[in-house]
Parts: sequence; C-alpha cells; structure tokens
Amino acid sequence: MDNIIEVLNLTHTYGADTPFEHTAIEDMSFEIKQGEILGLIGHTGSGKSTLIQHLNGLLKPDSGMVKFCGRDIWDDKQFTREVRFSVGLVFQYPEYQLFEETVERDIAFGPTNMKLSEDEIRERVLYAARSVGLDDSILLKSPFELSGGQKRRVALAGVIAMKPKVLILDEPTAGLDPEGREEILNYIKNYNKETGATIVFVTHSMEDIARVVDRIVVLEKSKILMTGTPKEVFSRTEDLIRAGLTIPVAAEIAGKLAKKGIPVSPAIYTIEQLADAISTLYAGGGKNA
Amino acid sequence: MLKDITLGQFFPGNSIIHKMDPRLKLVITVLYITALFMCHGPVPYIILGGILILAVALSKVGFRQVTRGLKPILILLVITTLFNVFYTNGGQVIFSWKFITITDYGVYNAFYMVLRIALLIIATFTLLTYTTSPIMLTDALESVLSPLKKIKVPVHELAMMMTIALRFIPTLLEETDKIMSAQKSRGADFESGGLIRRAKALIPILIPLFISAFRRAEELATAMECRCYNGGEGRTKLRVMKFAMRDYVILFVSLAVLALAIYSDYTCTFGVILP
Ligand SMILES: Nc1ncnc2c1ncn2[C@@H]1O[C@H](COP(=O)(O)OP(=O)(O)O)[C@@H](O)[C@H]1O
Ligand SMILES: [Mg+2]
Repeated sequence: MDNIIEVLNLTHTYGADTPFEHTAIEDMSFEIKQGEILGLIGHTGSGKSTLIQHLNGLLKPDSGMVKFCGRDIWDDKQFTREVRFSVGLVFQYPEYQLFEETVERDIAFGPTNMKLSEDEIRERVLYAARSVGLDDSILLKSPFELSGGQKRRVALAGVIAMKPKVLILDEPTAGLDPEGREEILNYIKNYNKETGATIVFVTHSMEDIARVVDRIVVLEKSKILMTGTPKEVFSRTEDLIRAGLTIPVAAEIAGKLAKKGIPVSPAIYTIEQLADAISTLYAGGGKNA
Repeated sequence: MLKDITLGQFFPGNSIIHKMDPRLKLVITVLYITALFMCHGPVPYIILGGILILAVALSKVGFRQVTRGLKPILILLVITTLFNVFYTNGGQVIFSWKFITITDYGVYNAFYMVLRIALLIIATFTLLTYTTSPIMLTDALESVLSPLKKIKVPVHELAMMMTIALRFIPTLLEETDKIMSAQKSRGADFESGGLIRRAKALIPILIPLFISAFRRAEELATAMECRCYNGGEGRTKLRVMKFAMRDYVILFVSLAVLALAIYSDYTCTFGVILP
C-alpha cells in the first residue's frame, strides 16, 4: 500500500517565547496508508488535535514536514489549498460550527467553496446526508432545531460532501450515548468501505477504536509511544495504562486470565474474540487446564 | 493573528508588582495616566517612561511580552501620528508640498501623542492586567468605588459584569480560533476578495460564536442562581485585601515620582502649546 500522508519529524510549540510555552508535538514521524482506517489515540492533552491540524495545513510545522501524496503540503499556496479539500477535518464537537439557515445549505458550504456546479453540489449534499443516515426530510429544517446527535451528523456530512480522500475525525463520538456512538462508528466504517477513503479516527477511548481500525498510533505526552495493529498495541497493556489510557474491557479480562495461567491469548481485544476463546476453553481446552 | 491579542491576559507570577495590593495598583495607574496627560516636555516624560520601565523590569513578565501588547494598537498609533503631523497648525514649516504642510509643532505633537498612548497602553492594558488576575482587579475596583454605593451606583453589579467580561475574553478568542479553523477546513477563505466578500466570509464565524456566547451566558446564569447568587448585599469575600508595609512604601515612592514629573513639567516647559 502507498502512503497517502507522511509525517516527518514534526514539532509544534504553542506560545513560543511566552511563559505559557508548551511543545504539543515533538519530533513525530509516522505514515498514513492509502485506504486504511488509522486510530490515533492518546490521553487528553497528548497533542492529538494539534497533530491533525497539521495534516490539512491549518497549522504550520515549527520544524519537520507533512507530505501529502509525496509532496510537502506547504510547497506552494495552491497546493496547500488543494490539500484543504483533499484532507477533510471534522473537529471535536463539530455541531458548534453550524451556521446556515437550513441543513442543506450548511452541508453545501464546503462543496460551494470548492466552486462545484449546482447539480454536483445538490447531488453531494444528498449523498453526504444519506451516508450519515440523515433523512431527506431534515434537509430543509434549521440545523438549530435538531437533536445533538443529528447536529453532529450534519456537521459530519458537511465534510463528507467535499468527498475528501482522507477523512480525519477528532473525537467524533465524544458526548454521545452508546447508541449514537455505535451509529457514528458504523457510518465511518461504511464510508471507508464504499469510497475507499482513508480515515483517521482520533479518540481517547480504546473501546471505540478496538473494532474499527486497521492500525493504531498511540501518543503520549507529545510523542509517539507505539504504532501497530490493534493486536500488537493491545497486547502491551501495561504501557497503555502507563500512558493514562483505559484498555478495552475484553483485553483487560484476557490479560488477567492469562496472568492466572489460563491459556487465553493476551492479544484479545473484542468481546467476541474473548467469548470465542472462553467457549473453546470450555469445549476442549478444559481438560488440559 | 488572534494570538497577538493579549488584552486581559494574566501572567501568574511572584514579583513585587504581582504582590502589590490591587487597589494600590489601580490607584497608581489612574494617577499615572493623569500625570501622562498633564505633562508635555522631555524631562517629565523621561521620568514617567523611566518609572514604567522600572516597574516592567520588577514585574519580570519580560519586555517582549509588554511590547507585544502594543501590536494590536499599532494602526491606532500610525493614524495618530498622521493626524497630528498633517493637521497641526502653527509653528515653523519644515516641509511643504502642494497642500501638504508639515510644521515642527505637528511633529512634536505627534511624537508626544504616540508616546503618551504607548505608555498608557503599557501601564494599563499590559502591565496592570498582566500582573493582576481579573478577579483581583475587579475586587479592587469594587472596593475603590464602593463609596459610590451611597449615591445608589450599582458598584457590585458593575464589578461582577466586568469580572465576567474579562473572564470570557480569552475563552471567546479561543472559540473564535476554533470556529475559524473548522470553517477553513470546509474551504472558507478569509484572506482574499474585496471588503464585501471578506465581511460576508465572517458570517460562518459570527453566527456560531454568538450562539455559543448566548449558550455560555445562560449556563453561567443558571450556575450562579443554583449557588444562590443574588447581588452584593451581605456578600463576603474569599480574598480579603490588606495593605502591607511594602504597599505604603510603594505608594509613597510613586507619589513622589509622579509629583516630581508634574513639577518638572511646570518648571521647564519648552513653550509649546498642546491640545
Ligand atoms: N491554541 C493553543 N494554544 C496554546 N496551547 C494549546 C493550544 N491548543 C492546545 N494547546 C495545548 O497543547 C497540548 C495538546 O493539546 P491538544 O492537541 O488539544 O491535545 P489533545 O487533542 O490530545 O487533547 C495541551 O497541553 C494544550 O493545553
Ligand atoms: Mg483534542
């Protein structure tokens, strides 16, 4: 697989030369592969939001480089603007950015800025709304009369309507009830499957990403702690806990069982895997234990 | 851009300026401003500038920070200079071209006006607010103005309003930054186009900003009511302000210096009339 985004020795310091100086990202390097769902996880304040704002050129690196399709995104002005459209960023609590009179017009804000034709815009709005499960009847309502979960999805649709090659979501499930979280996770997964778009999923909740992502980058205090598949990452339980993260319940139970000498793999991280492992133990493995 | 606005920001510290009684700081600042507008010549300004530099040095917030506070008013300074240079009559003409004449009075006026504004901003909006937390500042204001309660001026309510306003300046700036980034991610462009296009480009920022400001106001009001807030009557303070020995010394020294500045202004004027 090709790398769609490469981050090379990225460093960013807020409030340089003031008493509030704080290095939010320090010498980070990693890559994002074409078509994957990448989980970016870290404790609050570990620099996740700062990092992703570098990926679509909202923040300029103090040192280091971000490459999109092999080219430095700050290469020239035109390219930076192109990257804005190719790398869609959904901020944390995106429902607070809604401003238009109708849902339809709000979702159309991005495509309109891309100077697309009316028909194309209309088509994209419908597509985006449907892909986050919004009913067509909602399109003519004011975004301010919707429920919190619906607003969140409208905001999400606003970015999806730009059909970005990379979709970055900053804590998209924050503040939602379990059902709302589940829905958002499914929409994201479907979107990735349908369009082949690359997804970067930012969160501080392991539970959220355990089931959706292909690869995980773990941040700790402005630096990368580890990178790997969910299996690899979740088997390093102790490091994760030290980084202030809560691990998925299934991984925790598997770890505890393994410690007691019961032969379950420490790489288990979903409830389904755990249930399978335990039922096989009961069925056959019990005699050996 | 927004990062340059340091208005109302507080840099916690432990310097002698930080530790001064906030009421004293407030009173000295007011006296200082008065002195600034009473004085004209070079000698008083050297004294007034000198004492401010000393205060900044003592506060340990750094000269870089303090001059940074001047950045947002740079335009104001430039306009002031132009107006004074071109629209002052009298004095000797030093430059003349078509309808433009520049006199030495004009240059002189411009120089002192700019110096005055710069010192004023440094003394109030940067030094005072950098070294005094907003809560201390409004507490001090309330205390200094409390005699006005006798003539039914709602001092406590005004102070509370100011506390809240100051408290929310950084929050709103931060929020503006966030909303701007979010809209930029959707391809909003705030930097190109004519005046009207740029003004229009602000709508996607202003509407979410107002909505969130109202939401915050409502939440704050509810939270205050839940804690039985009902105005200043009988309310006691967590931090009781007290004059220390140090404060008397500072008061005495400052009064002496300001008096000296004003005195020197009377004794060695340079014969220039100022507005
Ligand atoms: N605009 C800003 N100005 C100054 N400091 C900031 C700003 N944004 C974030 N920070 C600081 O940078 C650090 C990382 O923040 P952030 O990237 O938001 O972390 P996360 O998204 O992982 O919670 C935090 O300590 C935060 O206080
Ligand atoms: Mg964040």
